[in-house]
Order: sequence, then structure tokens, then C-alpha cells
Amino acid sequence: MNEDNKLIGQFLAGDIKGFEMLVKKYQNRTLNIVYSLVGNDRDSEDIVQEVFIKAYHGLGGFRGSAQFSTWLYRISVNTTYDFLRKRRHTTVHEDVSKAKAVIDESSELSLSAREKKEEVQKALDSIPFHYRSAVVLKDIEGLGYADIARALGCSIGTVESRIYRARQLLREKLSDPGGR
Amino acid sequence: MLNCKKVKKLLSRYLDGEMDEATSRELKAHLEGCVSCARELSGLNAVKNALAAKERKALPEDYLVCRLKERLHSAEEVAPKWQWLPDMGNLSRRLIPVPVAVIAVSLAFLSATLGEFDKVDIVDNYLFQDNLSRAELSILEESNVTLDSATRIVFGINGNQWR
Repeated sequence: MNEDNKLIGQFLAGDIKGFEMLVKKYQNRTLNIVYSLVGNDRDSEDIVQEVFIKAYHGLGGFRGSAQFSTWLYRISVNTTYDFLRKRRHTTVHEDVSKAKAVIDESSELSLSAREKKEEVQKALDSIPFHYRSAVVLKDIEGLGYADIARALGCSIGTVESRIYRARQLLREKLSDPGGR
Repeated sequence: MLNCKKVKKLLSRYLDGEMDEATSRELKAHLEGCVSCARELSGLNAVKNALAAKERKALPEDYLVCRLKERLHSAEEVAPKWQWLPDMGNLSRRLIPVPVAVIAVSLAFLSATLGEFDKVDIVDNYLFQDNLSRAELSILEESNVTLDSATRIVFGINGNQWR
């Protein structure tokens, strides 16, 4: 039994510490996937919270046939997709007073390096969601094609073509994708 | 034999190390003699590297756990597990029907006894209510059963014979 399954068992047996450990283990990985899909800190934080609320309520039905991480990433992608779909139909009023806890590790970089990283995010934001989610799970989280297919609920062939298409589109958007 | 069209479709798989060894060798041989496909591979690789170098975000270690607890509590979404005394919480909820049943039987007995009177008016309702002990009252309160409803239940059990 792997570590995640032990923690899930602990949680299902009534010990909340098991769930807390899972949250701490996966919060930043989930955050980085969600951030890359949604493109801003405040929404990412709320979505990540929503993802773990869903995981908290859904763990009782987790069958363990897939890895916990793949299951969690599937929730993350679907929750982000729902959020973006709803946002398209509503006017966004950002609450600027709301505290932001996300630590931006790029804040210490030079202006040009920061601009470069922002350009990558802007390019990601501009491509269709199904391409974006595949390439993010591959190049940001480093999942294999089989796990991406499970997380996205599609075939490995579809994952392959989405990743290829996403990289093609990103190459067109980025002025110098190899530059730092 | 791989042609350029097939090779380009396979480039991401090759780049990600998801290709079997035989196809990988064949593709590599094609790339050595094809500038166009080699350039395509180089462009895709640059995108892959740019994404890998993208900034990483982080949350303070306990921050999310605290926010989740707050949210689950405030929205009354608290499952029994996220409480100080989880088992007691569960147990108390499971045991609620027991005192309710005991009270219902007691009330039925009480009403049957009081039912011997020929004439009962509203004052009797108050007398009946006054006969409930403090413990019974608190159990009713915890079970969200008002005193009036308890009284109505008793009268109902006896076919409203007092009215």
C-alpha cells in the first residue's frame, strides 16, 4: 500500500490528520496546475480550496483503482473548467481587499525574466482549454501520457495529439520560447 | 519508413520519452537527414523547456488546511471527522431518536392518564407542559421539537379527545 492510500485509510477511519497530510502534500502541485490553467493567484487559491473540499467529501467513494494524485488532478481540471465556463457568463468584480496567500517565487527575478514568465502564462491563457490542460499536466506537473489520459478521461492517442497541438500553438505565441 | 507528416505527429511523443525504442531509432534517423522536422522538434523542445521553467507558486504550509477547516465549519459542511470529538458527535446524533422515542411513549402514557378527565381546556395544556421535567424539555429542544408540537402530538395520539 502506498503512502497516499495509507493516509486515505487513516482519514476514512476517522482520523482527520490523514486528510491534512494529503492536503499539505498536494496543495502546491494542485495550485500550480490550477494557476497555469486559470492564470491568476486569487482565483487559483479559491479553486484549489474547492478542489480539496470536493476531495474531502468524495474520498469515501474513491475506489483506489487509480492513484490518488490522478484522481485529484482530474477534480482540479474539471473544477477549473467549470469555474472558467461560469466566469465567461458573469462579470468579474475582483475583491482587491481579499488577502492573497500565494507566494510568487518569481517576485525576486529581474524584470525581463519576469516578463518572460508572464508571457508564457499569457500564451497558455490564449490556447483552448483541452490543449492547455494536457500540456500543463505534462510540462508543469510532469505526468506520463497514461496518467494524463486517466486525469482527462480520454485516450493516450488524444493526449498525444493535444500536447503536440498545444506546443505548436504556444510556439506561435511565444516570441522566443527557448530564451530566458 | 517514416515520412515527414508521420514524423511530425510523433515528435511530442518522442520528446516526452513515450516512444518505443524501435520507432525512436527510426525517427532519430529521419531527423538526422531532415532539416524541416529537426527544426520542428527544436521548436517544440523550446516550448517544453519554457513551460518547465515557468514560475512555481506555493502556499504557506498550514494555510490551506486552516481555510478548509474554516469553510467546512462555517458552511455547516462539517463531516463528523473534522470535530474535536468526532465519535461523540456521531454517537450523539445516532442516539437522538432514543430520547425522542422515550419522550413520545411517556407523553402518550401521560396523556392517556389525563384523558380520564371529562373536560379539558387550554389550561390543561399548560399543566401538561409544566409536568415535563427540565431534562425532557432540553431533549425536546435539542431535537428541534417545540413544546407546542409535543403537546399536539399527545393530543393527536388520543384522537383529540380533549377538544
